[in-house]
Amino acid sequence: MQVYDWQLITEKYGPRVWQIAYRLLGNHSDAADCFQETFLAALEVSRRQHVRNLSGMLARLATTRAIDRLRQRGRQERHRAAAQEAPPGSACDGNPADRAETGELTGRLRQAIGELPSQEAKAFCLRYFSEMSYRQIAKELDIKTSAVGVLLHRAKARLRERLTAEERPLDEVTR
Amino acid sequence: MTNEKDILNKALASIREEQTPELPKDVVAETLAQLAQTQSASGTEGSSPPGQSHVRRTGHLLGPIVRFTAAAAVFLLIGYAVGRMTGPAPLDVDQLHNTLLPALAAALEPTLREAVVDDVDQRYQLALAGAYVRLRDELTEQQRSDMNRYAAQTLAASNAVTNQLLGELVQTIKADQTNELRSVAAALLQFERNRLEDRETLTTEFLALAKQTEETRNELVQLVVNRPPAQRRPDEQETTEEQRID
Repeated sequence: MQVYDWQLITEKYGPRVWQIAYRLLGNHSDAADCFQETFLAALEVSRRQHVRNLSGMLARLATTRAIDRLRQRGRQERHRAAAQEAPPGSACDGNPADRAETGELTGRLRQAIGELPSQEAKAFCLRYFSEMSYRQIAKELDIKTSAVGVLLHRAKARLRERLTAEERPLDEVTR
Repeated sequence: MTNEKDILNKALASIREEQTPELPKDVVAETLAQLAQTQSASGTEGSSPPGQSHVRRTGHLLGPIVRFTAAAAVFLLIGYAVGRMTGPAPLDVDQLHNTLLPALAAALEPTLREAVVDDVDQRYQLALAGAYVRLRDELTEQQRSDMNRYAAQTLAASNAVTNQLLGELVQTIKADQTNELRSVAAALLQFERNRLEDRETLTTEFLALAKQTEETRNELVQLVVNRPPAQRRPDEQETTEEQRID
């Protein structure tokens, strides 16, 4: 069994795990819980098996925990409050209307990710939030590289469908 | 379709452009504390007396081996049964036992040896990790307490030296002030003496001047009294006549 210096590991990989968790969850408290759960899960995994790619494993665990939290949040219908929480220093700082629209859009995307099937959500998040290659995703999820492409294609199609379906009623109301 | 693609890309770009705050130190500290707590809990579990967690851990590790052993035994039993049923004559049990025993021992020994070595290695590494964390924490705490003690001692010594130097400085200033006051008092005394001497001299001089003035005035009076009337000037005579008319 390997001996890990978790303080060093936290210093080295902590910012990346925090970025993944915060991007997916969008608020501080959930991101902090996800951060702690990720490292505790990593400790358990490292006891059970030999870890070759610690960074990839932490990214996968953070993504999985964040998706679980998104699902839990969706079940409790708290995503509205999370969507209304203004992200600090977003790209549309100048215009409150744009900022509100961006916040609502990101909240809907997070909700839609939480409603995706597990593998599709993991593949999508690892690709677009952790910026991993198809090969790295396939390695982490223990699937073939071609299956990653299929999962990503399905995930994007479902997300587009959900985002557009939620946008249409708003457009009709505004008209 | 373009709108659908745009909306997903827009949402992704919005999430990417959101500024992620810095990783809070309290979250890191809390996570490290939980990791240490979990590690220490597993360390105590590893050092518990045999018969408790040891059995569970060994069972967890030896599960596949037991299954493999059972499968091998079943396979051998089936082979033995088939051989017994299809064989021309019944075999001698002792002979069969003696024949199969070395093969079984040779087949199972490396696997069991590897499992035992892995188990011992894992428990050793767990204990080593726990001891490493505890030793690091103790050394850190000891270093902190030593630093605090040395800092307090250094501060006390520095304060004593500073107080001594300040006392010496105050004594030096007092001595200088005393000397200055003495000098000023001597100068003032000298000024007073000079002033008294000057006053006395001036009084004497004034008296001499008054005396000479009085003598001069007397001489002038005497001179005017003793001068004959014909020698008076005309203006003095007219004045005398005017005074007479009045």
